[in-house]
Amino acid sequence: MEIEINVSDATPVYTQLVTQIIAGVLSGSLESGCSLPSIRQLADNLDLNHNTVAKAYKLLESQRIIQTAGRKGTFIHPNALNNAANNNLQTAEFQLENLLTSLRDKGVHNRDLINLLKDQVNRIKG
Amino acid sequence: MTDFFAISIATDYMLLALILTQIPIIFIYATRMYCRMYSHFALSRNADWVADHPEFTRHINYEKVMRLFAYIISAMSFTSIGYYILQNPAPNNIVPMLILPQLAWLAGMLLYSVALHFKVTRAIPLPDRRSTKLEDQSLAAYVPHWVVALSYVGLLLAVGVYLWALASGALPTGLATARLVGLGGIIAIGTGVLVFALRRKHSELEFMFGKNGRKIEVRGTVAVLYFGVLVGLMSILGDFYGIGLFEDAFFFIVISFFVQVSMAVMCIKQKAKLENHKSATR
Repeated sequence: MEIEINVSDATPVYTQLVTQIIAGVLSGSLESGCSLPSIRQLADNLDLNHNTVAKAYKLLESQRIIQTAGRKGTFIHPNALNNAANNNLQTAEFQLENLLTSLRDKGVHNRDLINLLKDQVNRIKG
Repeated sequence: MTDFFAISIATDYMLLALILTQIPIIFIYATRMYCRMYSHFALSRNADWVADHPEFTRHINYEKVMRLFAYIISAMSFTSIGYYILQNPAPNNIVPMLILPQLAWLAGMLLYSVALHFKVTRAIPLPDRRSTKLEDQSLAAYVPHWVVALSYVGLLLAVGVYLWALASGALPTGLATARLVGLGGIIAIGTGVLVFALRRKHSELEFMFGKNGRKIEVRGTVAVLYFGVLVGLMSILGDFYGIGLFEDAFFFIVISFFVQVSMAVMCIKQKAKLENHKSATR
């Protein structure tokens, strides 16, 4: 799998790495048990600071997308696919909750919110 | 006695042939192709920036210096052959005539690549967009750890035997020291090449053979380590038990032959790749 970063992008580089690795897991490019390059190697290949890659790996490990096995290296977690899907669901739930709360605070009624949400879902489906 | 003499003369002819063939293959053709490839690696750091700065040509100067150095080695190597043939009886220094130019060339290439890295590659600004393959480049990804460890165990056992021989006086000091230097050289160079093959960003063989290039490089280096174990074993059999299956020059003949053939194949492959790349970016 090819990974591409853009250092001039507003999104932090470690987030770009995390997003692409999760996308790789979800698309099936990175299967569970697949070995990943070491922090040093990935940082060298992308000409990045080692701490940037370490931060991305740490975040992925906390989300149980990857797991480190000491000197054996870093691997994709056996349940990475489920974990990534669950994490996405949790993130969606959190973001939706924030959005709905802020809209209710602005005076938008529950009924209107439900209709809007249904319309949006139908639009995406269509 | 006559048989030994015949073998020795045949070995000398083989060594002389290798000294001659390494001039066009390594010092002329491979130098040209490797310089082109290293320049290509250096400039590929930011191809857009290089295209926008046509005045950036300092890599050509380094390439010229390296090629001039290789021509000097070729001339000296050629002169040494003439000197060897003219002398009667011929002195027994034919192995250094094969090895020293190779070592000089290696040192030259090392200096050239260091200069290229600091004066050319690092002078090119990094692009904002960077990409790499998410592939594991650790040793275990190419060859099981135990295979590599076993070769080191073999080499260290051979070193141990000669250290014991040196300490106990079982072998003449000069012979034991020469064997230890040889085995130490194999361990040092093999380890260096192995680390270099694993850690560097660009691999020549990866460029030539694609995804499997680095695997070929790592496994080839491990094979050389095992060849070192074999040579160590042969030396022990010869030195301690008088079973002289091969001469000392055997190691250099096999390695030189392997190096020359693989370099010729690699350079032909490199040329095609570089030309393809050139036409694709044109």
